[in-house]
Amino acid sequence: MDLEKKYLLRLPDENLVMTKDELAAHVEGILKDHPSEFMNGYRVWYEGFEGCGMPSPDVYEVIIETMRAMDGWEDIGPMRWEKYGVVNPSFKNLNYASAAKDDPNGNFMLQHRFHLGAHYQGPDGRVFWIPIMEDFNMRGFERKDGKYVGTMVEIDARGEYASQMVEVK
Amino acid sequence: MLKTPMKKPGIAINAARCMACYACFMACKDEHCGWDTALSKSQPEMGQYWMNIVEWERGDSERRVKTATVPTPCNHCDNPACMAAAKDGAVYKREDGIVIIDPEKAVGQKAIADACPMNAVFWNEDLQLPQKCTMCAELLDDPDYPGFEPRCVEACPNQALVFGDLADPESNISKLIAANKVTPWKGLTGNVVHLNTPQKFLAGTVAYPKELEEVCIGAKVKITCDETGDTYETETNWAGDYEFEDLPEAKTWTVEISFPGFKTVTYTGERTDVDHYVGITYLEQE
Amino acid sequence: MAERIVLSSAERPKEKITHSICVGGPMTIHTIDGVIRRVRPVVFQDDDPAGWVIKARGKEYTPQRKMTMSLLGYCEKDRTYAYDRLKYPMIREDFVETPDGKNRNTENRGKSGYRRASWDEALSLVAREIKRLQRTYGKETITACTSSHHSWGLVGYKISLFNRFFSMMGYTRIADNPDSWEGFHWGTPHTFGYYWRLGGPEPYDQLEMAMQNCETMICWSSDPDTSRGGYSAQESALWRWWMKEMGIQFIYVDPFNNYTSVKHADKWIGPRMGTDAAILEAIAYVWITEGTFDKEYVAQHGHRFNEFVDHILGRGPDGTPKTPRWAEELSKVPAMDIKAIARRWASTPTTSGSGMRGGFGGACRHSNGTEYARLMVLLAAMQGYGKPGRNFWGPGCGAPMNYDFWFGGYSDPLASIAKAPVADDVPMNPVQQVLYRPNLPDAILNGHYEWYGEGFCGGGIDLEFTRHVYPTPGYNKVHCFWRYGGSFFGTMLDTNKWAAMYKSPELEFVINQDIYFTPETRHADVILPACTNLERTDIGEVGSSGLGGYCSHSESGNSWQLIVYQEKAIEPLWDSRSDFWIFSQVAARLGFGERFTEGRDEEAWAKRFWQFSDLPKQMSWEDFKKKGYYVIPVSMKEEDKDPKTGLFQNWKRYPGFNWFAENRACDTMNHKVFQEEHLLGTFSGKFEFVSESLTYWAPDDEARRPIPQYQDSWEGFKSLSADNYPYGLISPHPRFDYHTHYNQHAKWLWEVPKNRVLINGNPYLVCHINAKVAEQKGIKDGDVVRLFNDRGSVLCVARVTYRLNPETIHAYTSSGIYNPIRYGERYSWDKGGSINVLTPGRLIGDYVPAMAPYSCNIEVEKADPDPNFGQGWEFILDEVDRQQLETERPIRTSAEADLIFGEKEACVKALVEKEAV
Repeated sequence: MDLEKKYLLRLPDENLVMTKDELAAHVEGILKDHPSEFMNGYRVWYEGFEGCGMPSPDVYEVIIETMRAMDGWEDIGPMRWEKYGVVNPSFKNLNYASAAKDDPNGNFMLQHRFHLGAHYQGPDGRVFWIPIMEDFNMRGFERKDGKYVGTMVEIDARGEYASQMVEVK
Repeated sequence: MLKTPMKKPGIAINAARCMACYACFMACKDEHCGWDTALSKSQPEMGQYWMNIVEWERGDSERRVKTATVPTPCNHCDNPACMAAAKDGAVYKREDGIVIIDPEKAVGQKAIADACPMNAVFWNEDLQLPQKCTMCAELLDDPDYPGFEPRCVEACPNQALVFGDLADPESNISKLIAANKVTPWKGLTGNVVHLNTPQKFLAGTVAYPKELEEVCIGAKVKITCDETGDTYETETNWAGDYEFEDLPEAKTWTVEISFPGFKTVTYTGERTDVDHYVGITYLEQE
Repeated sequence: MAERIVLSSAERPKEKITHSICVGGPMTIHTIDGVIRRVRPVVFQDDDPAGWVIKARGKEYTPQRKMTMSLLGYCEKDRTYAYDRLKYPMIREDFVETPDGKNRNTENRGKSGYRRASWDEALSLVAREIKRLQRTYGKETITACTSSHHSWGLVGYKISLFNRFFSMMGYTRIADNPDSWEGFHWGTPHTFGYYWRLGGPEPYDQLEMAMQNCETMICWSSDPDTSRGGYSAQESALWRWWMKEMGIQFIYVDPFNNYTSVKHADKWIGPRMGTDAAILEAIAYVWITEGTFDKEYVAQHGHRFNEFVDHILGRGPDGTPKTPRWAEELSKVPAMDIKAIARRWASTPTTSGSGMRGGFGGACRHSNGTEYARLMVLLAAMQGYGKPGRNFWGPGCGAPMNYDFWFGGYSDPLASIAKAPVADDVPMNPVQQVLYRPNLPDAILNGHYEWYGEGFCGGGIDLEFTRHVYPTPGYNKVHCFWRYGGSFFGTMLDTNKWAAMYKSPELEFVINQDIYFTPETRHADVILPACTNLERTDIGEVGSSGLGGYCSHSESGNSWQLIVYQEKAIEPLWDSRSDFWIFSQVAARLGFGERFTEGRDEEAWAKRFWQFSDLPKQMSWEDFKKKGYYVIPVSMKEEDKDPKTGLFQNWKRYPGFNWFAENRACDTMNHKVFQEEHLLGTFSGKFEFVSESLTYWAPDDEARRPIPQYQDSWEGFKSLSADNYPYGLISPHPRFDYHTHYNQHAKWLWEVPKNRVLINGNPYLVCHINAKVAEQKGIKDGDVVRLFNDRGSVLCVARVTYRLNPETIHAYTSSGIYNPIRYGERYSWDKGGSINVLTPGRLIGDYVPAMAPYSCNIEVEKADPDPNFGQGWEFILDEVDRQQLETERPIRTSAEADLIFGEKEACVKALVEKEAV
């Protein structure tokens, strides 16, 4: 009898059987240099493996264990995902600041650089709420004394000003 | 006289573009219901359609149906029947061709309303007055009015109604008329020119033997008019359908369908009393 | 009736010109001394910017230098001076203000007459009752709802003004369902994501793409000349003629050969109701067996395609190959036609779409609607969705637009006086309890209701599956309904249920705030007369300059983008007031008046929208007010113009879904973070032929299966009810109305022969019956007929036609008129044409809380017209008119109000005396 636990992965073209180490290695490969700021086990399963159906609990367990063990990812507990609802644990990319901000073809990834709907403080001290990001422009409103003032502001996401903006709460 | 002078202001009505959105119908009511103008008394809220839209369904089978939708305002005829029926100059044709019913002089003259061959003149019972479209001349005469077209034309989203100087061969309206088929409404000529009002169609589908459940693309279809001898030819399209548009009404046709390798099929006595779908022709092998 | 003759034009002084917007489009309004003279389209002047030019197939195409309106815009004057306007506040005659809220004769609601009240009496009663109810039961006992498209203008619109008042006061919110596009909203996020677009596709720049690349357009369940892109007036009609005239083949699929298909279709097929999914499966069968789909694209971008293939070929669990013959049995569309369409679709660059924006269409408002919608997307994917000429789009959107200019769009979450940045004080509704609109009557009548989902689930797939219970634990039930703007009698399904709800003593107090004496208004205890948006000032846009239309740029259905200063054209008629005034008054009486207004009047609020947009950079507030509108050019750069014509030939283009087909980061508007990683909003990031999100969230969902597929309807031709009611009712969005807002009020619409026919003073709605069916039943064109099933009866006028398959009967939905013959009685035959008397209140499924009006079986028979003259309820308004009352300010009843279509003596004077205020 083969005493090593095997993991069955249902995938579109064929079902694969892996050992724990093989499975962990695949997970690490999927997550290496990943551009996303946040991850969870389902993203790894569905996007990374192109898994079919819900991941079986034992496969899922290994994915989570592997993520916890990886240096670049921090377990942040429960987080709400638009697709999956609340997933616990979710993970934060510790290498996000230096992660790829252009797609594999070199296209600018705007929302990987800035958070939609967040507030940012520019080098001149002004604080802006950015609820709209379209093309490479960020559009928003200046916040002053608890109110929004002025008119709509357009900030070039590739420009000097944007590069020095810091997110504030 | 129009503030932008035109020798013969006219409206071209393109039935090929009209989709019966009724914007022109409503714009006319908006302009004339409840308001007197320099040239007319107000139209009642309901009951008169100075811009009418005549619609009819075309086709005798679900497999091919179209509609004809023709906006029919007053034709502003060259020889207005209403003017002939009017007394005391109650109806007059301006130099530019626009026909006006004088709202004072025409009181009591029901004959004016009855005379119109296209039912474009309405009888206002309360005012005892015949009333009809003025081509919005009162607006276009007015230097203070900011628009330059009759209300119906201005409302049309599709350029199915076009306004301009019929006497100017370089105008858009003249060019449009020159490029399309003129189809006088009820045979009338005047400042309103109807284009592309459809006659009748013959249509059908050709298919392979029924058990194959396949349409036949590229079958040759030839129709011949028994009365005139005219013939037309076409081929079935990607859907196996064929269609001959704008055929004269009330004629008898012979339809011949042929495709290599299959028996030629002939239909006789196909009538264009109505727009007619000949049928699905299932070919038989030779 | 004596005619109103007004204002001889010889005496006419100069006209004032203002602008506004309605659902029919933007308007230029001419008034003469406080009276509306005419409503015209907005015709551009020489100093307005140049338009765009699309160059396609050797020709150049540019729109007319004006904005168009649908017929409804031209009815605005008729509608403003309508006979059924609410003139004064009214209180139900037999309403009793009992201290405990009981014994108030609620069973008479819908039948009772009304007495005239002063504003003070009416508003004080409203305030008193609200305080009593809140004290007794808590804030949650008040609930309120608007209609979807009540009145145009960013200040006055429901997400703005209504939202501000009720969130500030606290109330049980009623969640809307995505009524017009249920199947897409609840279906396609599980196939291609786009939950933030509420299930719809990216329309960006698709008009140009189609004009340049398309050879075939498939308009499934689509009547764009009628639905007009939603709020896009009639602008796109011209585009479709361009496309037709350049030889693009149009295929229309609709049980009714609708108004667009009858003009444009090169091929029309009319499937039996609810069988669209079967035809789509059969088309997939043809492609798979003939190998005529984009294999590379599917291999790269499709998830679990092989299992879909198995299902289609009959190798799946049901063992049924989805052949064209199989589809013919169900749909009655010949197999040979299905095959021909399949081959045309595969062999030419084909763009397909459902309904007015690609992700709409009545076919998705059916028990099988989610599956139909999902299959529409999957079939587009099988043919390379996003490649040139191959897209998923409805030909009523996607015009060139300037996305670099921002102004709050209609229904844009940022364009609201209840939200930042426009509001300084953003109210947060303290009440957690929520109700669900389609089943409000069930909740009230049964005292209990459970459902899933947030209604509009743009914020996430997870929001489809939130669990709701009414009453929410810890909360009390609702005992007061404040209904605002428009009528659910006509738009919501199973009308008689709503009538029952209103009669329930559970509703101790009912307020209705509206412009007209609508069918629903007649069920209120207190009626507050609001004025139209022509009688108040607001600001708005057409063409979706910012977001707008309930998801990002869902419009782009106009040839032009226009921002309009909706200046008040005339003073409020009779004793009506603006909604803003009404809410401010109630707020003041409830103690939060200043907080509500923030010290601003309507114009000052309107200015806030100008302020927080890109408009100040182009036009000062004063200049904008003076001109009345601003046309946003498609580009701001002179060098983008074609030097020959001066038209813009270049602008920033973002062709919808192109990024996905070209494997690059998403660059289209309003995208999600993960789209930049070239992922769709599905779990796998690909087109899901087998849906992972459904397996994850709702594995036992019987309405949405992991592989989308045809299923018999719970009310269809195979149901038991079909034995008695053998015809499927198709009730699409109306051509001659906009969700009840015009048909009762604008009598001109009764003169459109395809809309209504006046018999004995009652405007009967037109229904369409197949010629063979009519002959069998002895029904002639123009006969009055009764459409009926177990839920009720509606009298209509029959139009006999070949534009329908013999299994279907057509009558438009959203009737503005609901009129039981025995006035105020439930289950009495309706002669107003309120087709929703017949439609089922059942939701699509346990997990799919969606309306399904297209799953409706009826029978038809010849009937006699109701011999009673008139609509039957005018007597109530006449009676109120006769009452005398001292009011706070003189009522503007005279010359102005009665002017055009009133009842009194003829008036020939031009000038009207201004009242002392």
